[in-house]
Amino acid sequence: MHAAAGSGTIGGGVITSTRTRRRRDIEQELDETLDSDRPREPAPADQMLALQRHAGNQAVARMLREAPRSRPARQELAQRAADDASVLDAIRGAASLRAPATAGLLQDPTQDGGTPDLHQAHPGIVIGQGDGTEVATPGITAPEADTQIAAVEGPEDAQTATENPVDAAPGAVPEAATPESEEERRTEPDGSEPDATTPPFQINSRTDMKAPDGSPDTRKKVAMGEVIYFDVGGRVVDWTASAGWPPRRRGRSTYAWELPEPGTATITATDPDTGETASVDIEAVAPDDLKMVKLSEDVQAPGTGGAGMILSPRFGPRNVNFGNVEWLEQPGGPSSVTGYFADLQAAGADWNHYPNPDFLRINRHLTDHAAIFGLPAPFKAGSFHWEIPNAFRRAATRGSGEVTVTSRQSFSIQANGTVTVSKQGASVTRAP
Amino acid sequence: MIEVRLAVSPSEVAADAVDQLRVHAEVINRGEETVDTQLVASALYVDGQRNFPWGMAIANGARDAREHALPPGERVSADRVLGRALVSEPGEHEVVLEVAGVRSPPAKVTVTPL
Repeated sequence: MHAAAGSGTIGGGVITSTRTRRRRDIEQELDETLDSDRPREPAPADQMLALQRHAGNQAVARMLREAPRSRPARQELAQRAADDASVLDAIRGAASLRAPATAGLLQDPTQDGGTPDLHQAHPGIVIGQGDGTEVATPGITAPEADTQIAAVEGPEDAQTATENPVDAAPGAVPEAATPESEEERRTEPDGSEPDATTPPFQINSRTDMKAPDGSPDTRKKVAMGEVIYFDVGGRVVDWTASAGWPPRRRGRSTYAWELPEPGTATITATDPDTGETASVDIEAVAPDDLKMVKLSEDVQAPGTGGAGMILSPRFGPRNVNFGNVEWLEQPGGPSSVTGYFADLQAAGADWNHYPNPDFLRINRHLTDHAAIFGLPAPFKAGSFHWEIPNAFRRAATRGSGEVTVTSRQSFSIQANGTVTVSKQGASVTRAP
Repeated sequence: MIEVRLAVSPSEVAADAVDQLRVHAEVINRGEETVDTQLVASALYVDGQRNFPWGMAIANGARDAREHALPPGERVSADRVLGRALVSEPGEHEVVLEVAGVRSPPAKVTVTPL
């Protein structure tokens, strides 16, 4: 991660917890306020001022509901209202003045009614449609990655640049994240009121797909071709990437990007109005490991030598998702041919590996098969194996890919004709 | 009931270019129930003689999972580049694929002399 002028950092928090905490704070404060043993605060004059601001915020909320303003503008106004800590004081004061009625009226702010665009989390505090908890995690499956980028990014032209791509593809909006707790954000380090007009300038990121091991979608290590959505809390900014695609986008609140081959890239967001910048480093990796899980064993007619199994490949590392990657086993000859197999080879048998010549997209339905059939008697001990180069490339691209994993498939036979086939941790043994 | 189709490409190749010979097998489920195509255990015949490299080739490698459970009306295919393990001698050759006892129409491949 890099930070330039404007103190860029990576966001990490989730609004759900913050909003819930805020609600609990309010409820707790109301309870405390209703406790007659506790002093009432703040002073009535301050309460009146806060209530006036509260009324003003409600008016802002109404205007936002009715006006077709851009999403970032709504969010900013909503954020300003939400950051107005004086409203909490107003509630305290109001509760202290009419405690029985208020206690009965308090509702769960997250269940509060309202327009689809704006909700009143509690009086005076509006939550815009960008509130992360209201947006489901993007559930885009790998095959739609290209379409997804196109849908979010769209053409790079002047007209489009003025539009909000999130409106066109709301499902692609990453969950907005808060970098710090509400309590931390409410005051500056010196205890003073924060400047609501300058929220932290930071890049949030969310991967399009889940990592098999459960690593968070905010991870900065991804698979080659794995799409990431970046945002700066809804602010419309200019985006650049030191590598990958698309290399730049101007005037976007969301930036969908990927690195099609292994490597690293730095993503930078720049606010064209303020000059603030923030950046984040992303590492894209190719598969570096391949394990096979046996799904089933082949049934063969008795009397002949052979064994086979259906396999499910598991590509590592497991903390990234290779759903946008294609896999190809490269052909090759046998190694360490001995005994029974050497004798047959001398008689003309071909033990070369002729794999599927086409790249196949990695997904959970992809299977492999490892087998040898029809070995004739008489039997004697012997073995051979294949060292298989495994090539990978970004899905829907051309080229021979890059070999990053070498796997081994072994064949052996005992003198009684029992055959064992093994591949990357999976094995099957069968007697004739 | 399955239907088996076969193609060899290129259908005409020079003797010094047989390494590129590619076999394309296709199985279509013409029945009303899901079937295990048994393509992994299929047999290829070249000029009436069983081709053993095909046996090892088709029994190994990544594949469409539907090959083991093909729904009615759907099809799966598999390709293998056998090269000179398919044919190498100049002349016209006839290739037939047998899957679960069902034979494909013959495919022709011609190897032209140098």
